[in-house]
Amino acid sequence: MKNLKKLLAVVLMVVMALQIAACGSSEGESDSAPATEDAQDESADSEEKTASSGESKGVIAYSCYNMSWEYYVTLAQGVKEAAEEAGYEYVEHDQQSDQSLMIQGCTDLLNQDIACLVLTPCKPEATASIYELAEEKGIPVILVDISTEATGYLACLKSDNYDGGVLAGNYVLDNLTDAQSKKAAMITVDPSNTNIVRSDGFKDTLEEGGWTIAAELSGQSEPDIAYSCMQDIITANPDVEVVFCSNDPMAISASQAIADAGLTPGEDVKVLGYDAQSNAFEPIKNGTVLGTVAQDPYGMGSGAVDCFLKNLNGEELTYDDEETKIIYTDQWIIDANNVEEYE
Amino acid sequence: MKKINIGRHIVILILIVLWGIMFILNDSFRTGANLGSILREASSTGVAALGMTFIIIMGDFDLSIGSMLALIGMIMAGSMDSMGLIPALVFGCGAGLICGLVNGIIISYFHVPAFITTLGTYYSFRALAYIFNNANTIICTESAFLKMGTGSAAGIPIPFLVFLVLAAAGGVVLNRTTYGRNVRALGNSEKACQISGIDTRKVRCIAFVLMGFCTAVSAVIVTARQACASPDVAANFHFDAITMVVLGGTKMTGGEGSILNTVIAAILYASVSNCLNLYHVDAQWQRVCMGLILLAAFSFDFIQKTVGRTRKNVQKKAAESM
Repeated sequence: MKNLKKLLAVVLMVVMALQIAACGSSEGESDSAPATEDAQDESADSEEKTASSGESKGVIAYSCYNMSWEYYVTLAQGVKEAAEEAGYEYVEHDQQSDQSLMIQGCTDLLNQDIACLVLTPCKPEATASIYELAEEKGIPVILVDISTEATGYLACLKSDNYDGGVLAGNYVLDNLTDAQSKKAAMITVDPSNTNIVRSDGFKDTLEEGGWTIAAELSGQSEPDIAYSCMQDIITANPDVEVVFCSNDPMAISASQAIADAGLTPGEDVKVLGYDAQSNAFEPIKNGTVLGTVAQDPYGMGSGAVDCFLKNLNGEELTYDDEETKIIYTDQWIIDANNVEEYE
Repeated sequence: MKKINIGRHIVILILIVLWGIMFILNDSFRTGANLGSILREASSTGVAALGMTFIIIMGDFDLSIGSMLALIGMIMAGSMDSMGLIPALVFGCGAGLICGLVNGIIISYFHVPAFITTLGTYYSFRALAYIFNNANTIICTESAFLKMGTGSAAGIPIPFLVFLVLAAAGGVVLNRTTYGRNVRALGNSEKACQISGIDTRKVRCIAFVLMGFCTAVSAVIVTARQACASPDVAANFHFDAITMVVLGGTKMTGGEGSILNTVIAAILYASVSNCLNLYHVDAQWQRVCMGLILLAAFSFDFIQKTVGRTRKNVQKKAAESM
């Protein structure tokens, strides 16, 4: 019995170690000698930092949804370069997709009296306490990429997802003028995701252009689910000509499913993606994916800093939507003709 | 002369050293707002760590509390609009007690090991939390409720006051009551307990019910702080809670442990995370750091014993050679 208990304890420890190694888990740390050493090491760093911040006007912090995603790395780059150009120090916080980390990290940033908080909330519903503290401290919060229902932010810079869908729809109408069946299908993100309006924009545009949407399945944002969705779509509608996927990984695996079904992606069925991730560029070049809707994460990041500076100078910000303080950023289509510019 | 066992109280020492260093070096750290934020953070997981202390002293552990917290949060937030604040809180605590009871009954009366049982309920509770509102987040607007997470009384965060009260109660139960003695005895030897006529099944079952209650209180704090309940909340909650308990010197093999040390460990845990945030340590390095600290915490017991044994051997040899 005792041995069994020991064994279980060992198993648990291994599981924990793996968990930490694999997904990094949460912020929390603890104990002991290493902690104290770290604190000392880092305090040395901080002394350097305070020395250099002598000339700095303050700190612009960016709290990010998840820094392991390329899209947000680009966005952070935009914030960083614009902040440094304006003479501010830049710091970064990674929420790692965890809402508790988001609140704790932002609270810690705000408690340091930063000049401005740029925020992409991983859980838009949980931002109320952040706004409250920011208001108490008089620190402006600028949202990028994701908007929240709670107000209390200075501005929100994001893409118009519906408009992006319209963009993709118009691209199809303009470029596939020789379409026979005029049948299209869509593979969407999970139903709770706000990006669902991407496919709505696409749908409305195509239907206005005389096309029919033969199938609309949820790929749950996951490539492997999108793969089986695509199989089902081909089985049910062999004459489908265009498939719009709400993100690039799904587009890539949909194109794979088309090839595996014995059809030629890009000829028989054309696939459109969204996000312009760099791993979609190769399929676009060789024609298996027709194109993708590009958002402008870098522009969102640098735009956020611009908004902060304007507000600081007392200038009025011009919103695309006064009520929600949303400012839409650019989107465009990347296809075989211009893909080389973005690699 | 009574020898003070440094090993048992090392966590207090580390906390004092860490806070001392940070107080001197970092201006942001010593502000009241920041200290309040540390205590607030320590409380949300710390309350659950109190219940976990009992469980680990018995030689078991509970992996389901993160999922349980999500489920309780959903139930509480979901019923608040229609039923009002107090009934929703009662309902949430009731849900916690029932979840704990389910764990407790399966473990003690069906003789399924705690590891397997709570792994099973870890999946089930989480799935139920998703099913409850079709995976959608529920937003809480009741300001009296939100105060429980974000408010302060006399400058001290309300969650921390709750944490202290529960810790005091937990300390009394563990050290001053027959039940507490039974829990410790059970961790030392189940056989001996049975022989001496203790109803081990009941003792174990009650401990899991207490765990459920503590999780419910944690759920109140976490939900109120985030102003919303979502089914994917607190993914690593169980690991955090177990880490705090082990950090506080409670042995994974059972039989020994202290509520006070768990409280200190919870504060230390939150402090370290706060320090890393204050110095903007890169998320990847935070993970490395956290991994090392966790491993250090788990092997601490072993290191301490080995050091003790080596020292004894050296002394023995020295004595022999004289």
